[in-house]
Amino acid sequence: MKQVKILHCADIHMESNLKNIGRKGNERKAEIKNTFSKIIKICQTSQVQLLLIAGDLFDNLHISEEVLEELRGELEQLKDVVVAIAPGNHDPYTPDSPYARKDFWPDHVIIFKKNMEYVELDSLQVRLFGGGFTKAYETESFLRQIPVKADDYINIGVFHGLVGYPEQKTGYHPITEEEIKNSHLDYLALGHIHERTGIKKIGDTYYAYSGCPEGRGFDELGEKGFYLGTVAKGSVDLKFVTICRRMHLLQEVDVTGSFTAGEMVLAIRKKLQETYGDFYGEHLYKIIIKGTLPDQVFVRTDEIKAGLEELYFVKIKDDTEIEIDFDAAAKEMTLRGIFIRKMLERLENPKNKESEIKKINMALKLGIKAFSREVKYHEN
Amino acid sequence: MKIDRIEIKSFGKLKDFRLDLKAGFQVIYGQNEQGKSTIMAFIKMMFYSKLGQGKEIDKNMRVKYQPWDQSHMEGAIEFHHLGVAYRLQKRIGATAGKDKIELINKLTGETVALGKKEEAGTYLFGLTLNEFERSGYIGQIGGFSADLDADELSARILSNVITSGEETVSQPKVADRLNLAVEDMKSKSGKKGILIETARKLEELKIEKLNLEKLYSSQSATQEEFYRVEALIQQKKALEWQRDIDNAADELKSLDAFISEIKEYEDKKRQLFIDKFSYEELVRFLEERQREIKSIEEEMIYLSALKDPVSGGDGNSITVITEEEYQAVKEKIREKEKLEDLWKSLNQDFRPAYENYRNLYENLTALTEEEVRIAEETLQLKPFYVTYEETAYRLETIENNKEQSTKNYQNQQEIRTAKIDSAKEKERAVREEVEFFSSQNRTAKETQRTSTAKILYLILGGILGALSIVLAVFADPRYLFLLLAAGAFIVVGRISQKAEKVPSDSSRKKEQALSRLRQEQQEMQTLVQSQEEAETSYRQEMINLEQQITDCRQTLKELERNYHEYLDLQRKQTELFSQVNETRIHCEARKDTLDKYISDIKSRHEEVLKEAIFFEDRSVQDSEELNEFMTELDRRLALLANDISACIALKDCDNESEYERNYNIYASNQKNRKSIDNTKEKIDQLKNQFLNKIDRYQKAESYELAKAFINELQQSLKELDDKQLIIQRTAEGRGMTEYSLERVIADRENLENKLVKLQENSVIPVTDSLAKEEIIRQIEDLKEQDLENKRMEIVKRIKTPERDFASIEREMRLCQQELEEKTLYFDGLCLAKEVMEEAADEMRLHFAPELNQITGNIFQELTNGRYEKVLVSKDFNINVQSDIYLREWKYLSSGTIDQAYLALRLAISELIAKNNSRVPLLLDDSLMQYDDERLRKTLSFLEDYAERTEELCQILLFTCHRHVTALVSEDKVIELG
Repeated sequence: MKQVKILHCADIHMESNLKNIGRKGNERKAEIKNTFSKIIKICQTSQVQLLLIAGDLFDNLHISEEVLEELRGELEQLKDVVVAIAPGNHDPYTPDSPYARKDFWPDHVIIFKKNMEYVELDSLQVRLFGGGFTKAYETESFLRQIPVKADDYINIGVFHGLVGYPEQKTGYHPITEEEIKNSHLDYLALGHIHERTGIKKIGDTYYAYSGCPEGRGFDELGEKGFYLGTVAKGSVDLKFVTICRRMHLLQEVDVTGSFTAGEMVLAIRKKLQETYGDFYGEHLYKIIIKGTLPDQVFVRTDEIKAGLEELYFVKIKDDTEIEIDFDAAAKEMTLRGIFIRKMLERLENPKNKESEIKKINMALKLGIKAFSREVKYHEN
Repeated sequence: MKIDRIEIKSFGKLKDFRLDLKAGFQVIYGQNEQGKSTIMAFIKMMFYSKLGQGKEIDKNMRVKYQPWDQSHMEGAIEFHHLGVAYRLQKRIGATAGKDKIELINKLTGETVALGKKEEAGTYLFGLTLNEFERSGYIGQIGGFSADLDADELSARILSNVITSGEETVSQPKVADRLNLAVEDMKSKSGKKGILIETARKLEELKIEKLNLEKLYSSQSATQEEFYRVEALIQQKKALEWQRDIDNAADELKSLDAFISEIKEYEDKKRQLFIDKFSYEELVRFLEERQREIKSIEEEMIYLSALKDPVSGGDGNSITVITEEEYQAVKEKIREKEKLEDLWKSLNQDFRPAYENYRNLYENLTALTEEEVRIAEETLQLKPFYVTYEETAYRLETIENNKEQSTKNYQNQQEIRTAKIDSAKEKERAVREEVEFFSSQNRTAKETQRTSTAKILYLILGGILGALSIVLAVFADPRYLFLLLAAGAFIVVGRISQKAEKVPSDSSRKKEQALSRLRQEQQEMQTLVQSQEEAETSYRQEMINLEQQITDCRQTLKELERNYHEYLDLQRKQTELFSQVNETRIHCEARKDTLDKYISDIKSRHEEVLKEAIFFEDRSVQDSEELNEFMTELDRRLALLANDISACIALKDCDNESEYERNYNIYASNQKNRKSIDNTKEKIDQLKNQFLNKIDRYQKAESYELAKAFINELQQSLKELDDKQLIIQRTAEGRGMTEYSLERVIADRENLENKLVKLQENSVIPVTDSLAKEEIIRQIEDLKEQDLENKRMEIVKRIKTPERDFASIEREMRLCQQELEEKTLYFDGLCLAKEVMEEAADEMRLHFAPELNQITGNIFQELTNGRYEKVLVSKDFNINVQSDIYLREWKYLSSGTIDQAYLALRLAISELIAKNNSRVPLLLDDSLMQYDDERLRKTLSFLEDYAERTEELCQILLFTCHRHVTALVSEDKVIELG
């Protein structure tokens, strides 16, 4: 059976401005670029025939000449691979976009400059459909009238958009599942959602979001990569390949039983080592310190951060509870006892809404903390 | 509750330790490090596992009291509570969860089940660890505080106890922390703070998004313009596509026409070549046949020319001259011409050169002879020349000698005169010397007479000296003075002796001077004599030399004529020598020229010149030989001329040219006849050959028919070539170097495919009805609009913002989350602050008055009624009331403060016991600062207090001060160790 080997990636966000991680931002920017270079190398070594980039290759349209030249140079190396780029909301095909440069991109690079276009790759027996954003927002589906022909060609689509939204409900190219079903594509490579999905199927069409190859914040967690494998008429065999240099990780660590910052560092380190192996230090962490700590024990986030010097990047949030028996404490004839009692009384009000309960719990926690330590909001 | 017994299996430094306790007040004495604090900690840890709420937590008690031998902390405590005896056993683990607790009702022997995670202390006494400590543990002021800030003074502790119920909790500080945190989030003015910043950031993002929207909408017109231009560009592309399709269709037609033309040509070619010939062969065939036709035609023309007579056509009028005759005459003419040439060469070239050379040669001979003659003459004159030269030289030498001798003589004379002058001078000096010594001799004779007396002085001096020594040795040393006198005599004697020597020396010198005078006189005489001799000798030499000079001059005069003759001859000889050389060179050159002529003539006329000897010897005096030869040559020429004339005349010819013409006419007629026959034969042969060759292509009846056929064929080929040329040019126009039907067909196929593809890839449909011209016109129109540049210009106008919607929205999302989180925190803080204030009010309204009341009672009792109350002012300062006066804390003694503290702690304990159970009071050296009287009074108060409380109260005072034990009865003292 005829099949074509593809690599599906998306949302690289090259030249992304990563201010949220401070001085590491520039380093990460370089790593993102490097990861894309690795993807290109994999195309060469794995005999990929079709490289699908489902949008947001660039984070914005202000890409330096140097980066563009470098990228072009790398793409030129991929002479035997058809490269298809569907511009996304971050890098729409506008008149001043790098994509619109005349005679710049190598011949084997197809850039979709309209909402719906297709090319027939006779040598691969593939009909490749694609569409690009032409402005920062697209409220209509490009897939509405996809002209798939009933022949032996493998029909593949590459688009940047948001599945599950009807038209006008999002500015990020709404695509409905019905439209996917009616497209009769053999595989639909999608971009926009940075978290990968599994390979899904509606009607005859397989589709997936590959997610981004490098996370850029603590809203893009875990392993990142791309899909690699074959697509044939009516079937796909695609595997997710992790490629990210580092992961953004949100890790809760229970430090109950620790009394000092040093002990907490050990507890955190142990947890990270157990969870992420020997190279745990390579990643970017947001560590949420959990657990119950004695009244007199403080979570000194700065000290903990300093102690975890082996971590590439770390943010620490103190979410510990004070070890206390509220009911017993409420009976104490002390200021604290009275405070707790009054708080518990407020909590018991059946008219409380969820937000109110949250607020009271927060007040209880902060009030108790205030007996022994500062309660200023700590931004770490 | 009353503790009966403490059993420590292993805890801190204590091992297998047991302590039995009674009810009421007891003093437990132990020196430092004997385990008082350990026992107190043990009691606490037996009842409580979750030590986090305790006050010593920073020390991590599980670590602090880890036994030294690393065994488990383990022990038991037996006690009575509400009339029931219990035994609480516990093995303390690393964490609360790992503690193993067993509470046994001693009466029933049953184990009491504690709730999950339930503390024994809470279960039994309803007290949290905090309250257990507050009600049961009293140390020195601040003794239980492990976390006291340095600025927290004792007053603050008391103040804390009253306002918050806890030593370490300062109500104002708690309120302060909350306030600060609230203000940190949002300042009072509402303009600053973490929350405000975040809200502002979110607001800014919203504005940025709004601006972005504005930008997009303002640029939408530009973008639309861009898409309009883009559409026109696409339209242009579509038109171009249509044009391309039309062009391709036209091209297809033209290719079809071309193909049929080629095919027609190929057919014709095939017909023409009748499958036998290749093109080249046919061309060659035709060329050959044409050549043959041409040859035949030429032969035929030649034949017709041959038939015409040469002269009149009548053979009889022609003089018969056979070839042999003709050749014989011709030979003679040739010989004559050759001899004439020789004659000319000899006469014009050789002879002048020869004569030239001969003249020069003779000249050279004459010069050589002259040279010999002069040489001989010179040889004869040479002896005169030599003698003359020698005499001249000799004369010069003599004159030189004469001059030299004169000079020498004069020099010698000067020297001798000088010597004589010098000798005269010496003689005069010696004479003066003699006179000097003669006068000196006379003086000496006069002094000689005084010398005898002087000798006496000497002798006398000697005797006196000897006598003085003898006398000094043998008589008296004082005689040595006589030595002086002796010395004086000797000195006088010596002077006289010296004067005596002079007369003899002077006379000797006079003798010597006289002798020298005589020598000098003799020497001078010798000198004068030698001067006279030298003069005589000089004069004689001069006479001789003058004679010699005269002789020499005579000789020179005699030889002078011959000498000059000789010199003339020598000059002539030199001139002649160069003349001879020059002539010889000329002669050699002439000889070379002559040799060249000779060799030239010889090469041309070798036979004739075989015996010509004049060539061999060129030194001959005249040209007789040559003249003879020339005469012979003239003779032979004359003979030949006669001979030729005779031959010519024989054939009635006047001269050689007529003879030759007549011969030619005769010979030609003879040849022509033969040629006609030959030519006819040749033409027939050629025609036959031609017809045979034609057969290969087509049979022909006759030469004429065949010739017509060939011409026709030639014409067809030319037409074919013309056609081929047209096809070739068309092919070249299509970019082919050579036309090829296959290639054209392939091109057509490609074009057809291209057309199909073009039609398939119709990107934008074009109105079908547009005429070709219209399409081109529209394309031109669109070209004029300069769409590409317009597009570029629009692109320049479009500004892409730094950030796009998605980025801003993402940041807004994160910022919103952040804001929500901070708002919750802020709201929490505000609520906590509010409730904390409520709690503080409640403390102030309900807890404080009761506490004040009980504390006042105890304090009054402890101070013997001196002070009545302990009060906390609004600014949290402690005051004590005495009568109607309030005293500020700072004016009290430390003992009073300690008493106030004890009163306060006992009051709290009482208050707690009022709502829960009373637990034993453990006092850790609380009375340390008390003076003896105050201590005694306080101990007595505690004894009473233990008895007086409703439920029997156990009070255990731990101390390391021996004097404390002395103040209580012995049965109330337990000694550790």
